[in-house]
Amino acid sequence: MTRRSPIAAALLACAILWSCERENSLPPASISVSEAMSAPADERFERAREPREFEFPRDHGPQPAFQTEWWYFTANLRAASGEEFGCQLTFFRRATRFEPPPSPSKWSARDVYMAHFAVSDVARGELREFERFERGALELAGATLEPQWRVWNRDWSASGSLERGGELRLEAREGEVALALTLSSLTAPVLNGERGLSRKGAADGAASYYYSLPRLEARGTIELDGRSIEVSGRAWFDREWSTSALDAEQVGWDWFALRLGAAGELMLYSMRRRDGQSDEHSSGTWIDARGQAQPLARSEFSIEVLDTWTSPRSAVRYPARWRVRVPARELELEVTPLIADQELNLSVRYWEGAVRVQGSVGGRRVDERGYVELAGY
Amino acid sequence: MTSLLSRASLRYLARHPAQLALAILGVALGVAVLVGIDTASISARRAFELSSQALRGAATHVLRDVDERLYVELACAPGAPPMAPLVSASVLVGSQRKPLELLGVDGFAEARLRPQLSGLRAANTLASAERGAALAASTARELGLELGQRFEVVVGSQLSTLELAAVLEGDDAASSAALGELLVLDIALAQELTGKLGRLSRVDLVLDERSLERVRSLLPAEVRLESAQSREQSRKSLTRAFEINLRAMSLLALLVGVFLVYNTMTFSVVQRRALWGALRTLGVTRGEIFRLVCVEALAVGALGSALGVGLGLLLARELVELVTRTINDLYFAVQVRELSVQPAILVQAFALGVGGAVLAALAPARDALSSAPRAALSRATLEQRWSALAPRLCAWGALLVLAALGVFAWKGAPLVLSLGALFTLLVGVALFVPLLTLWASAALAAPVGLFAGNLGRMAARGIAASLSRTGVAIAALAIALSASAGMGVMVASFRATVTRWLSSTLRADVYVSAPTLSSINVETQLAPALVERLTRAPNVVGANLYRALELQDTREQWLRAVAIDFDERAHDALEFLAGERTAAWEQFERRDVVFVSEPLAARTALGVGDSLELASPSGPRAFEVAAVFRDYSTDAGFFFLPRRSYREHWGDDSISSLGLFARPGVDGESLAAELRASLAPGEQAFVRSRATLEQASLEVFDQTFEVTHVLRWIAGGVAFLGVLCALLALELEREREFGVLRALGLAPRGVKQLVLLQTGLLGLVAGAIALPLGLAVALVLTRVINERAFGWSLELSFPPRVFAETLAISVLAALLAGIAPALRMARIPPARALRSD
Repeated sequence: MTRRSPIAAALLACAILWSCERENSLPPASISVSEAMSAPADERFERAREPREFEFPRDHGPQPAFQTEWWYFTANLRAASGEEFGCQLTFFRRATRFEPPPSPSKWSARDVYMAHFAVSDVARGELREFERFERGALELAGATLEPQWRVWNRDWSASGSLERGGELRLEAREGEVALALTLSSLTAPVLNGERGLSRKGAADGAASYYYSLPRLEARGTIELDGRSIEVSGRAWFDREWSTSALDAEQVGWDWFALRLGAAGELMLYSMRRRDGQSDEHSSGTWIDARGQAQPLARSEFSIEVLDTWTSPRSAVRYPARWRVRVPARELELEVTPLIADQELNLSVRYWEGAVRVQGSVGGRRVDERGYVELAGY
Repeated sequence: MTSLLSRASLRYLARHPAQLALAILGVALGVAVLVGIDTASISARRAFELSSQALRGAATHVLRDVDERLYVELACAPGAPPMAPLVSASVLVGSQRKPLELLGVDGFAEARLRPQLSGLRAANTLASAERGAALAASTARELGLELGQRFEVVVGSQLSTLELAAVLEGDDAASSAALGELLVLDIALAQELTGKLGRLSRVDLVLDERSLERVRSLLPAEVRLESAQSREQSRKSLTRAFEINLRAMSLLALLVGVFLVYNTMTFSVVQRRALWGALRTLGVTRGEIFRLVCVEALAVGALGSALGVGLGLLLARELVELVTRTINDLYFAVQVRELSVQPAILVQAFALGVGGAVLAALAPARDALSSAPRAALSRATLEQRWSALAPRLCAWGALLVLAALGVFAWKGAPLVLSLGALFTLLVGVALFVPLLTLWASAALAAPVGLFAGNLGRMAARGIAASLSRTGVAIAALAIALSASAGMGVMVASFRATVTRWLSSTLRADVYVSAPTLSSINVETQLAPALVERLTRAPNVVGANLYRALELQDTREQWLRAVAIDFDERAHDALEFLAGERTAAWEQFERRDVVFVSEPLAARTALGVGDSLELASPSGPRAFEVAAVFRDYSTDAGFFFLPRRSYREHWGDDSISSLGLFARPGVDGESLAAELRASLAPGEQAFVRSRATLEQASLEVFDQTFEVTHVLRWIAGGVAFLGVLCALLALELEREREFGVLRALGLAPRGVKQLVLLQTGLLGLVAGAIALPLGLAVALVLTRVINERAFGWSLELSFPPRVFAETLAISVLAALLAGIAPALRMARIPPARALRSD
C-alpha cells in the first residue's frame, strides 16, 4: 500500500504555493491534503496501474515520466555512551508540468525538489527539523543514476550504492546540526503491496510503485551544537513514485516501520477516512529474518490507540501509544514514542519520530526501535 | 507685586491682540518651514532607507554581476550560508509606462533571505506560470490590473507582454513601499526578458564572520564581495548637500520670524515704559521687569512654536512631494508613502523658535531696565538712544560682514560654515540698517517734499524719528527680500548656465535611449540589433555610443560613469576645465584614462594626473584622470571612460543610448521622425531631436527648483508680516501725534496719505538695501555655496526682472501693510487720540 504518496504530493503542492510560510501562520497541512491532492495531473504523466518488472539499480534513479517520487531514509542510532538518536533525511521530487518550460534560461525548471532533515535527540527530548526547496535546475537539486546513484538538494545528499552489501552516504548539514552516515543494505529491495504495486484507492491509477530496504546497517556521526557524536544503528529506506490523486474521503494516514530483532521487520500502513474509519486499502508488509516479504491485508492486523499527545504549538492531538497485533504471527507489540514531541513544523505539519517497540513475536520477547509517521491530523 | 506685574502684563497683551497675533504667527511660520522642510527630507530619506532595508532583507553582503554557475557553486557548498540570486533591470510597466524595478527572483531562495517580504514568496507561483509576473497590490490597482490580466512591459528597448499571476502584500508599511517599486518575475523569465542569460545581477548573502571567510575562500580572485549597504550608502551621501541647502533656506525663514519677535517685544517694552516707570517708583525691581519681558517672549515663542510645529506638519505633506520629485529626478528612485515624523526634529524646531524669541527679547528687556524710572516714561529718550546707537551697530555689523567674507575667502571651508557665514552676512548688513535709514530719511526728505509738500517731508523725517520701529521693519523686509532675490538670481544664473551648457554639449542631432522616465536610470539598454540598424541608417553619418552605469572604485564607493565612444564631431562638446585638450583626447583614444565631471572632481578631490582605481571583473584597474570637464547634468558627478577600455575590462558590450549625427542638409527633427518610423513592432525607444532633449532637460531643471520657489514665497510672506507688525506698532504709537495733526486741521485723507507715504518710503528704503544685498547673496550662493555643496561653478547672470520684482514687492508689501494702520489712524477722532496719553 502506498504510504507517503499523499504527504509528498501535498508537501510539494504546498511547497509551490506557500514555500516556507513558517513564522506566523500555521502551515496549511489539512488544506493541502484534501485540496492540493485533488488537483488533476497532466494526462501525459504515466500512472501506476499494474505490477511492473523492477530493475535495479535503474529503478533507484529518477522516474521523470511520473509526476511525484521520493527517497526516504529514517534511522535509529545509538552512541557508544548509550545516547540515543533518531534521524530522517528525505528527498522529494514533483513535476510542476509535464514538459520543460520553453525558456532559454537555465533556471527554468520542470521539477521542484523538497527535502526534510530531522534529528531526534532522545536524551534531551528534542527534535531539530529542517526543510529545503530548490528547483531541479542548474544542479541545485536533482537525482541521477550515472556516474553513481545520487539524490541531492544543495549540500544535502544521498549517494553511493543501494545494492546489498554496497555502501551509500547520507550527508546533511544545517547550522549547528549535521549528519554524516554510511549505510549498507543487508537485504535486497523488498517490494510492497502486489509485487511493488501499492494500491491506495479504488480509482484507476490510484496507486504507486513502492519498495523498501528495511534493514540497513548505519554508522557515522551526528553533530549537534558543536558536539560530534559517533553513532551506529539501523536505517530504513523507502522509495516510491506515482502520479495519483488522493481520494476525497481519505484525510491522512498512520505508518509504522517496526524492527522485530531476529524476527525481521514489520511495515503497517493505515489510511484514515473522513469518518474516522480505517480505509480498506490500508495494508502492511511482513519481512522475515531472511528478508522475504509477505503482504498483510487490512484484516490481518489491528492497531489500537492507547494514548494521545497534544502539540503545544499547533494544538493538534496525535495518537501517542499503540497496541499492534498480527494474530497469525503471534505478534503483540506496544509502540511508544521515544520523545512525545516529534512534530515537524515545516511547510506541512506532521509527526514523524523514533519509537520504542516492546512485546512478543512468536513467543519471543522483543525490545526494539522503529519509526512512525502520522499525517493529516 | 509679581501677581500685579503679571496681571498688568496680561492686560496689556490682551489689549494688543493684533501685535501679539502677528508675532506669534511670525514665529509659527518660521518654525513651520523648519519642521516642514526637515520632515519632508527626513521622510524621503527614511522611505529610501526603509525600502532599501526591506529589499536588502537579512543580506549582509552582495556579489554583483556574476556568472550563475558561481551562485550554484556557492549555494551547494557544504554548510553554505543563506543566499539568493537576483536578476534586475529598470522597466516601464503597463500602458501608463510606470517605471518599476524588474526583479527576477528564485522564490525558494527568497524565503531564506527576505522572509519579511512574504510577497516575494508568492513568486513561487511564477515559476510555474508561463510569463507570469507579480506586482504589489497598490501598484496593480494604480495600473488598473487584475489577476490574470495581461499587460505590457518595456525592458530595454523591447516591448513584451506579461500576465499578472500574483498580487503581493507587504507585511508592514516599509515592505509594502518596497514592493510597490517592483515587478517581480521568476528568475528564468527575468533572464530571458533582460537578455542576461547565464548572468546574475546580484547574489545577496547572509554572512557571519565564519561564513564570510568560507565564502571568500571560494570566490575567484576578481569577484568582489561587498557590503550589502555600500550602494545605498553611496546614494544616500549624494543628497546630503541638497538637504543642507534646504535646511539653510528654512532657517532663513525662522530668522525673519525672530526679527518679528524682536520687533514686537521692543514695541511692547516701549509702550509700557510709562507703566513700568510708575511701577518702578512703587518698588518693582529691575530684575522683575527683565524677567517679565523674558517670560512674555517665552510665551510668544512657545505659542508660536507650538503652532508652527502643527503648521509644519501640514506643510511637510506638500513639501514632501516636491522634495521627492527632486530626489527622483537627480539622485535615486524613492516613493514616500507616509511622513516620518521625528520627535527630535519637532523638539529642535520648537527649541529654536522659543530660543530665537527669547534671544530677540533680550535687547528690549535690557532697554526696559537700563533707564531710570522717570526717564523710562519718555519715548524720545529711546529714539535718541537709537540714533546714537546706529553708528555703533554699524561697526558691529561691519565686523560680522568681515567675518563672513573671511569664511567665503577660505576655499576649504565646510558647507555648513559657509551657510553660517551667509547668515552672518545677512545679520551684519541688518545692523547697518538703522544708520542707512537715518541717512535715507534725511536724503529723501527734500525730493519727496518736492512733490508731496510738507506731508512728504514729514513722512520722510518720520522714518528717522521713530528709528526703533522703522529700522527693524526695514531690516526684516530687506533681509527677506535680499535672500529671496539672491535665490532668484542664483536659480536664474543656474538656468542660464545650464541652457548654455546644454546647447554646447548636445552636439548630435538625434538622441536615442531606451524608454525611461528617469534621468538617473542607468540600467536600461538598447537591443544590439536596434543600435546596429540606427547607426547604419542612410541619413546618419556618425554616432556617439553611450553605456551609462555605476562602477565601484576600490574603496567600495559607487560612482556614476559613462563608457563612451565619442564621434569626432563631438570632441569639442566637452569644455575642459583642466587638462590639455589635444593630449587628453589622444589619451582617451588609446589608454585607460577618464574624464571627470566638475562635481565629481570637487567631491572626490580628483585632479588631472591622479589615478582612479576601479574594481573590474578582472581585478582592480587604474585609470588616469586626463581632464576635468564642465557638466551640470548631475551634482553626483560622473566620469567618462573609453568604451573600448570598458569592453575590455568589464566584458560588457551593451549600449544604453546613442547620439546620432545627421547627414548635412538633413535636420534633426525630420531624422528623428524618420528613425522613429523605422522602429519595428515591439521595439521601444525614445528618439528625440536635440531641441526636444534640451527642452526636456530644462523641464527637469525647473522641477528641481520648485522647492526653492516655495521657500522664497514663504520667506517673503514672513517678511510681509514683519512689515505689517512694525507698522502697526509704529502707527499705534503715534496715535497722539496724529491726533495733534488732526487737531491742527489735517483731514482724515491727509492722515491716510501720510501713513501710506511713509510706509511706501519704508518699502523703498528696504528695497534699496535689498538690491545690493540680494546681489551679494546671489554671488555667495553661486560662487561659494554651490561650489562647496555641489561642485558647480555657475556663471552669474543678472536678470533685471528679479531686481524689478524685488523692488516692486518691497514697496507693495510695505504699502499693503500700511493700509490697515492708515485706515485706523484716519478713523480715530482726534480728541480720543489726544486723550490716549
